[in-house]
Amino acid sequence: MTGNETATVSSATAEAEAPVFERPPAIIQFFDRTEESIRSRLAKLTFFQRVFQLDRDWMTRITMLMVVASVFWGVLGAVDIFGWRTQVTAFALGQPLHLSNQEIYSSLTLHGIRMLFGFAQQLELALFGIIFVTAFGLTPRHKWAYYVSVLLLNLSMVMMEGPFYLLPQFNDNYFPALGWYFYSPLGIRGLSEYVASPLWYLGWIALSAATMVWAFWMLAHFLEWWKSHRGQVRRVPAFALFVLAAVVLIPISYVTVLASSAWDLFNYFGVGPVNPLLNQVLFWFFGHGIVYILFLIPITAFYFLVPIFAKRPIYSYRAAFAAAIIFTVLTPLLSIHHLYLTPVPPWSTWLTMALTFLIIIPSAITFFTIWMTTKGVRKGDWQWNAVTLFLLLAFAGTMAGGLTGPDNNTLGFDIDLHNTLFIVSHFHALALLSIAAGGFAVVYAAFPLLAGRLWYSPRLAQAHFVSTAIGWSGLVMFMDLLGSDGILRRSLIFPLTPAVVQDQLWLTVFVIVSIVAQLFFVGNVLLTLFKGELLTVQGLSLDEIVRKMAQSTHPKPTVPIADVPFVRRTPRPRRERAERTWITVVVVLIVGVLLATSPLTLTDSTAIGTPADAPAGSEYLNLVSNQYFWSVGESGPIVGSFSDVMVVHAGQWVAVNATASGATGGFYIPFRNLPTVDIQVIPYAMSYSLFRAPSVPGVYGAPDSEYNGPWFGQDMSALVVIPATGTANLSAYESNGGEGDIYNPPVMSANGAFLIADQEGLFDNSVPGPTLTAVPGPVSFQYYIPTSSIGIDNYLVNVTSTDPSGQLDYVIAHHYILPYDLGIYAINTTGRGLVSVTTQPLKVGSVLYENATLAAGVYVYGLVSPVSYVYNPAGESSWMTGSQQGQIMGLWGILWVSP
Amino acid sequence: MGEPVSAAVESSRRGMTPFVWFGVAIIVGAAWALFMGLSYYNVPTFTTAALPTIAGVAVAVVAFLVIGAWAPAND
Repeated sequence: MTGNETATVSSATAEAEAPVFERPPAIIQFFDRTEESIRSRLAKLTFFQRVFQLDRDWMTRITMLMVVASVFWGVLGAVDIFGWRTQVTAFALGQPLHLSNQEIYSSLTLHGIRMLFGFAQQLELALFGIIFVTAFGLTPRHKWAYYVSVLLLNLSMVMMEGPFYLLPQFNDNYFPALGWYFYSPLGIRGLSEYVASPLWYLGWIALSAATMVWAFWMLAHFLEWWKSHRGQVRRVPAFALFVLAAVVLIPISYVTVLASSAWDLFNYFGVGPVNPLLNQVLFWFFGHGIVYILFLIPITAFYFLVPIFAKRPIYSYRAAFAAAIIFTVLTPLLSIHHLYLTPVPPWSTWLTMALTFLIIIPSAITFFTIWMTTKGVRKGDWQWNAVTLFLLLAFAGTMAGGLTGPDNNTLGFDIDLHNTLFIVSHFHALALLSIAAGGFAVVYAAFPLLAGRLWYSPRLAQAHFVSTAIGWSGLVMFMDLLGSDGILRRSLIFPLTPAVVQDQLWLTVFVIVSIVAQLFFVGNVLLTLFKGELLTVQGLSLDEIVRKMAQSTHPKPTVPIADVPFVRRTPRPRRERAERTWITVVVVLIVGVLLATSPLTLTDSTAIGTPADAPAGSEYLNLVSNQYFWSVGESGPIVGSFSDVMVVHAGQWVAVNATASGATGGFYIPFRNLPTVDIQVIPYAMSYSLFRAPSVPGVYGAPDSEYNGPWFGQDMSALVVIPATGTANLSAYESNGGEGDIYNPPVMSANGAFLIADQEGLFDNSVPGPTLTAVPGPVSFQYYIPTSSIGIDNYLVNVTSTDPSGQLDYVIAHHYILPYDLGIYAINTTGRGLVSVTTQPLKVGSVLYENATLAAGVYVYGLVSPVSYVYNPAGESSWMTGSQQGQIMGLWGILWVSP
Repeated sequence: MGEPVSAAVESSRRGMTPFVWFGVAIIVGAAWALFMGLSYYNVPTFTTAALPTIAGVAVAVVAFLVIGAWAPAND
């Protein structure tokens, strides 16, 4: 036997009903009879009998139900991301988008929700449950508690996803478009103009209840086992320590999202005040915890499977025990590392950073212990089947994803990374290359036990591994590369530079490869259920059964599955000396890094939460993040009020005081040649930033970095840097790449420019639109807003209808003239804001000529004030179904006139 | 499974041990993570903000491999 000394094997096919000495309550009898009636009828159909294992014990049946449900949500989650990527790809290629913004951003939300909770977490609960019961030889009890957990979990997915068409006017008719989570107060009626259905919050509450029931079910069984085996077992197997960690962490983590969701729900109905920042902190106690709970899948897989295939115990049980304890204690404490850019107290930022560095320790112990467990195993005694290959991938993937974690955790560095695809890459490296890879290792090792059959096709298993490894690695790599450029996460709209377009296309390719790869797996599962060789386990230990199941994924197995006697030759003190040496090095390094990064962390965190002591002559920007534009009030050498435009002098110090009216926002200027500016802006709180404007005059893109609803992509502002005296052209700006800010709009000559609007209401797919340059004197350029650009995503026509031609009908009925003006406006720096030079009505379907004689200076062209837009396609918006509105600016840009 | 596998066994004994393969996995994964951190080398705050952490990770990876190589086998 290996490290699983206490494990015993219950017959995989035995009916494991608990002996009944008392009649159960009538309601339970009713449920039992109903279940039996359904089961016996469905079991007559071979498909259902095989897929749901309807002739097996209830624990196997319910586990299969969870596996099937998780695959169902996984498939939907894959469809979601495929839908998202098709639209991102279409935008990159300048092709028409076929989904509405509401659907596009819902796809992203639902991808995260379905994959994380419907798929990954449900699979984790299913696998941990069956492995726990099997390895401990437990007789599962409280069947209906388990059923309730599964029912609630899947019901929560339905409630969160929408549409729920039983009563469209009452139930949720919109998909939630809340990023992939919610960020208080986004979605809350009265506090956000994008309003989610209350079913969204009820879904979170149901999910919390589901997982807590599961955790208490597991705990009850463990305690029962512990009581009956007290004194008979020396220790709990190492892998089970991490299953127990999940059992402990689930209620601790979920109680916080239960609280924040209940709070949001109360606010939704106008009960009680809201504190968005506190609510976010509360949410992230869960948001962080859930990732670590899922991370327990590969950790458990390593501790469970590596000793089995190495045919020897883990290197150090005591190290594993310490890792489990530290992991469990630290995980619930790390909420604030997701909120480094918010105005939280600097001490809390520093403390969280220190604790987050400390949580490296259990991972360091685990990976050293697991690696050392393989030391001494001869190459001929180790089989590279699907189980061990996925373990290897999870090992590498955890390194790739986990070792970028310290980067994110360093506040000074996080400012560059926080809102970019770097974070998404870090997350997917862990979610796919670590968590899902570890999950597949467990599935390949355990599924035959559920199916009662060995894997049908080793070749399909191999193809699955190879294509999955390629797809996931490529996907992570191109997210990383886009993140390094500063590309925002969660945004459909991005700069169409050749490099970005190329990376986005490659990302789509690898997403498709990743999805196609799973078809090999699903095919193998179905073939196994219907054609796989029957699994016989008589006389085999648990370890031998696992090896036998894994061996069926190898085309030419060579390594015997039998246990071999293991006689310990290397004494524990020698092994533990190596462990201690390694952990000492890790602790020393953590302390060193902490000391080196603490001063900047405290400085940066203080700067976000405290008004700046700005040098004399600074420009003061009072920003309010609206949904979906920035109100800008300026004082200092430049005085004025603007929308989405911030005007400062070259090299001037800029002091920002920012808050949000409505959903949370983010002020982000992704300079790469200068320090990046990045703060999160929250209602009822002030965030601050003090930075030095570029010394080179130009137009610097400043997107809202926090997702705030389906027109988030248009929520971009510009930092217009003008010379302190005299005039300057943009040649220096162009030659230095605009200080490396990827969001700078492209520059083109005004005279002869022909700006074409797209269906997102942007000129030339860019927001702000292209920066036009001209010399003083006559300036002439053209706009064109094609009728083909008018549709449900175009905020210019405030008519939303299920009739696909509803918007166009409105335009025709109004003689193609919309109630807005396009024009040229001079930027006045002495308090008058934008001063009109020339305007004309916005006419659709006709070329509009802009002609003016301009003096040297900086101007804003286009539609320069936000357009109010309400999205209500079927007239079904209400406070119960969700609703969507905002003020959007997209058809504008800067006109730079200089000698 | 008790089947005669001498030729296949011989074949499988060629190549690297699982310990080495997992070591390679560590190197590949860690190299990618370090590369991603270092790709920010041209950001002005890199030296003060990012370098200490990246250096710490790099030293940890080297220490991991060295101590792992030095440590006694799991016999």
